[in-house]
Amino acid sequence: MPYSFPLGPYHPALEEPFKVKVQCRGEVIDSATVEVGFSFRGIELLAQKRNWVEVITLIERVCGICSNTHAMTFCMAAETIAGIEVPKRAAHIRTIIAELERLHSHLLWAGVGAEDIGFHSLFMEVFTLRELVMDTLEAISGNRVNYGMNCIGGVHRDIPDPKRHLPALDTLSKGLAEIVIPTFTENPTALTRTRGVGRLTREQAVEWAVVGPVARASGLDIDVRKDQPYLSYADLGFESVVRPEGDVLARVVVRALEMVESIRLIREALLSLPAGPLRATQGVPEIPSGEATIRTEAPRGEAFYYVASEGGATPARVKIRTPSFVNIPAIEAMVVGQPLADLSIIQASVDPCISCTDR
Amino acid sequence: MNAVWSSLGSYLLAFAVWPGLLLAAPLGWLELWFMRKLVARLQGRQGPPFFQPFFDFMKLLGKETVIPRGVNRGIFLALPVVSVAAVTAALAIVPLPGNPAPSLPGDVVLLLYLMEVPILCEVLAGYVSRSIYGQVAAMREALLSLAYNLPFLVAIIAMAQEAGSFQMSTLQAAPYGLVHLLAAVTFLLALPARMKLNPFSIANAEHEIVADSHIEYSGPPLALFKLSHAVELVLLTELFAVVFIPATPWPLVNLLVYLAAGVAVLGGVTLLATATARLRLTQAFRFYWVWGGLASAVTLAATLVR
Amino acid sequence: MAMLKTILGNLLRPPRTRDPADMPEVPPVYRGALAHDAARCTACGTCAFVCAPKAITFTQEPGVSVSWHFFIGQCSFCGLCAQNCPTRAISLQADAPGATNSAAGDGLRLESVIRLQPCTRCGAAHVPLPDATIEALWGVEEAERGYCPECRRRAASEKLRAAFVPAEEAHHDR
Repeated sequence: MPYSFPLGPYHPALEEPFKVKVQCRGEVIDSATVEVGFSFRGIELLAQKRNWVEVITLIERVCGICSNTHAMTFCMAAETIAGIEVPKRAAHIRTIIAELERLHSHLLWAGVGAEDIGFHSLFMEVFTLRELVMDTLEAISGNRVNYGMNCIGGVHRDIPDPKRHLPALDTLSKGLAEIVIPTFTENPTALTRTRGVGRLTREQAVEWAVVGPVARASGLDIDVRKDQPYLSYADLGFESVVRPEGDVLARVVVRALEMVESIRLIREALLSLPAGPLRATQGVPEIPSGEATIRTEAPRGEAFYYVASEGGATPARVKIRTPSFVNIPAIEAMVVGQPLADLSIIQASVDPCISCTDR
Repeated sequence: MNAVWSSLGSYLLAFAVWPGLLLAAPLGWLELWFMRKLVARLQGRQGPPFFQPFFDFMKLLGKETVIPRGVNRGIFLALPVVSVAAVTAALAIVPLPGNPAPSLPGDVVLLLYLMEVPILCEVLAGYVSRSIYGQVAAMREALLSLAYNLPFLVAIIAMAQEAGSFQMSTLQAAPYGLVHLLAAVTFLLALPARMKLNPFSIANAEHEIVADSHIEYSGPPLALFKLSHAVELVLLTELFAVVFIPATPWPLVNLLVYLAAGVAVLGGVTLLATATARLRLTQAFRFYWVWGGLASAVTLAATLVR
Repeated sequence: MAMLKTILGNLLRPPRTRDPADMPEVPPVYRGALAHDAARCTACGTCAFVCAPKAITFTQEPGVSVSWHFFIGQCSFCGLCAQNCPTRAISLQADAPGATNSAAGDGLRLESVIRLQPCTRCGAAHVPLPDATIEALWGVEEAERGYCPECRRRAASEKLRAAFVPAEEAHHDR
């Protein structure tokens, strides 16, 4: 007897409200529909009513997890319009914060993923590691979320003593190498829950136009950091992580290895922090009329910003397309034919960020 | 006539005091606390204070009972009561030292039947809740019980075969042998699923189906279900101790050994639960029918070989 | 098995649970409760301009005072007000802001009144500048301390004029 089973909008497996409604036959899923829009705030419209200083604070609140990506991408767009070149030191600091943010986002995901397969101990270990990243971010920016580091033309705060943050990175890479990665890839119970589950083939990945770790786990080698290096990625060198399998395990592995790469990037950026000013401009920025599109690699994939200015005190248009916006619909393709028990880990494997999606 | 009254009195005493409700409930809370504390320490956390399971129970007692619309009130409220009564009655049969109730021939069969009642209550609780989550949980619970009952029942039946009697006291006094060991392993195999612990916490997978089959329960009925679970823990661990741990002639030593064995078994399954993820229903099923089936076959073969 | 080793190791280590007492140290850049120093404020309005959630507003009583208002419920603790304040009148403290009103009723809303002062030369009411700002902008001339912006400009241009044009000539011109 077919029945419909709603996962969400309020459900223990979800961090944020969205809804996957599945049609089941026994424990097997026949079809799924995804509904979003539960935390819509109209940020794109609000952005047109805030001046160029205020709007960064607003844009930063598009997402609670990848807040820096949004503020940074917006600032990069405004800088492109105004033709401002960001100082090298500021670009390095932006890179460090972006990669720290990727670390904490991927660790958060690993914890939620562990929880979704019923692995509470792994969740505890992962979140202990994540706390190190959060402490580092707090030490640099003053906040655990919404760091407020970016301004048009550079960054607000310096990293006065870069070497101070290296021990945390060492502990983190040790924890990743000794606990998180082996447990996900060797623990038999964890493996049975992730291997071959929620498969998205390369063709499907192209068809559903997924981005970020989901695409890279399906064998699509796309990463803005590699394809179109911005900030200091060209200087630091970057290698993308690609797996061909397309199942949940591949997504776990891609994110885990990306964390290792992020730690390497942060360490090198901290050690090679160039001297120089933090900002290219002083005071309230003046943005001439023009428009710009910027792509950056957020923790969940490619974030796209279109910013238009008419030379006024506020942006004329801010268009945000977040990675989760394109990744979430792919859940519908992943869950078909899968057991109901795997629904929560499959939807989590996409790492859906609902605040981003709804804006 | 007097004999009838006195035996009835001893059953009542066994049901209500020891090993029944009055002492089993605190013992169950103690075991619950031990498990929670151990899980917390294994995960690097501090864990709950000693009285936490008791506090939880008392707090639930003080909460409002909400009965979903369209649910049969009588069944809804009777299920937790039946569940507690059944596990307590089952525990009263277990010949723990100091149990005033005499062991009857065939009480093993009664025990096994009574032990199925709480599972039945949970399944029914899920089905009558009119919640899709509760119904999925009930379906999982029912299917899973088909899986783990194979090694569970075989372990006890093999012991009965070994002792040549379906009487608990005979089982307890049976001379120690190879069958004890094999049956104990088979019993332990079934235990994590019987206790709804990882990797078999499939029917109470909150991240998949929000909660277990008593998702719509609240207040005192839920407290009774929790109490039933606590008493069930005592029942399972002490049943293991009574059947598989060799008894000494001294009752007090026996009691201490049984309690220690119970705690050790709990520690073992808790360690397993902490080190694993949750399996899928089909995987659990396969596990129990392959490995549980194999262990059952070996155990039964050992009873016949002799 | 990695997990088994980890959890058994945890059993031997003390718990990671932290007491409220051993909170980690607050970093110097922490953006906590807002504080406003009325003596330094020049009521320039920069803070209100950069405040995205409009938590800071100004009201005025013409000729008497300008008031700076802050409502914590709207604040997003981005720190832009403190960063952009030219006279450092706004600072973000290291302690976390109160979540509820204190018994005295303050905490959620801050208000500081900047009294206007009469100009020592013409008597027009104006916002007095803090000493450091006067020093940086106008130099230290004791007599000009209490001037309003208008008189200050006048005094400055007179000084400039005096520097270029000798006093007698200036006198002749009049």
